[in-house]
Amino acid sequence: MDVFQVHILAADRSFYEGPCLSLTFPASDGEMGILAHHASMIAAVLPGTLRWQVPGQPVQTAAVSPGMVKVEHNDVLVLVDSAEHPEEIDAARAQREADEAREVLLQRRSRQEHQIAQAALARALNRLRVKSADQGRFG
Amino acid sequence: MAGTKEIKTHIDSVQETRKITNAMYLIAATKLRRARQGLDNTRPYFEALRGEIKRIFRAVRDVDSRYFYPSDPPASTGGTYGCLVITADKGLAGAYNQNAIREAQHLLEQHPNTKLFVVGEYGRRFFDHRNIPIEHSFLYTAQNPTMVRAREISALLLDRFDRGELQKIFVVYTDMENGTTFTARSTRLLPFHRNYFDSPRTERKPVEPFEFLPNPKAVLENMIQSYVSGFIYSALIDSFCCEQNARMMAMDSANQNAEKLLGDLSLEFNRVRQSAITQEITEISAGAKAQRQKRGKER
Repeated sequence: MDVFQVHILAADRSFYEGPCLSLTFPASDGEMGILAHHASMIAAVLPGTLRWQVPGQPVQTAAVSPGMVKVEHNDVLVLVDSAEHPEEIDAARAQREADEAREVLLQRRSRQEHQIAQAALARALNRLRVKSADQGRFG
Repeated sequence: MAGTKEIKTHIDSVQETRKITNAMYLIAATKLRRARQGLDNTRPYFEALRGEIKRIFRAVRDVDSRYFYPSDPPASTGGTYGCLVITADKGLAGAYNQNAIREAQHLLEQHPNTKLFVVGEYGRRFFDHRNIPIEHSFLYTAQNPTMVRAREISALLLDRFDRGELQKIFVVYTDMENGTTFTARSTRLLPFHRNYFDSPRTERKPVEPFEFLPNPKAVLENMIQSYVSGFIYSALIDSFCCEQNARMMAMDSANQNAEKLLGDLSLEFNRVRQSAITQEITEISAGAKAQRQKRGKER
């Protein structure tokens, strides 16, 4: 299988740079996969699970927040607000955040607070999903 | 002239103050290093993001969004503006706060119908004191700029902007030009000027067309939100670096002043002590002489 270069940049750090066999990201209409020699494309990334495979290693996963993916000349650039490895995710904390966000959603607060809480809930649930999928694989 | 005791107390108090300013200097230096690290970490992402926005513009000319000025001549300049002012929580940082506030006041004079959004305790108190209404002050401190904070601020500003409550959004922050000089700046954050992302003519056109999923507008709006929070994040960190740098310089000169003051004071202390001793000797020898003369007369 052919290899392509991938650069995953999060807002606070450079997450992964190097060769990659395949990359799957959450797009607006479901998950989308990229292999080598993909046509040039720019796509929006939704919060969800990012999966990529480094040659000779098992598939890796990460929880990502919204951003974009660009493919050009066999070079893939992933720009997201945040990206986390499953082992970096603190399940207890994510659970707590999800609970807090649900509570805020229940209290009828202002529109803007509602939106922030919704985004926080989506992030926390996404983290939990990535974490539990990872544990299922090894445990 | 003050007595030795007073001078001694003065010296002690100056030494105590110097201890504090020295500690503050060291704290500021550590914080500065940490904040710089954060800025360096976020820079590649931010620059890549800006590059991609540029690229989309190059690829599709006619994309229209509320985040951009319309391509036809700009609309009227009326309406309410929003202004995010970033100050420190505390003073003792030279002219750092004053510069940022002066810049904000300048903006207020030009366009009185401006709502203020203030980060930092110092700015909040300043505007409170002068009865200048603040639309929203972010109560968490300017001390620890994180992406989460920046996202909260940008969510609030974008929400107002989307609802049309704010026509334009400005950011007043302090920019570090190089290691030693920094200036307060005001930058328009929204709406964007197309030219801002326009590339110089020399850059080559994209060779092959891009496919946009789901469509250029959605991708662009998704990116703009990240860009706004990224911009606010870097403005927060930039200001924080400047604040720490200004505080370092202020504390450094305070240390030097204390040094100088201590030198002067110890000189004065020695002089006073010396003159006291001299006086004592004079008095004793004068007394002894008088006694001797008295005894001589008796004989």
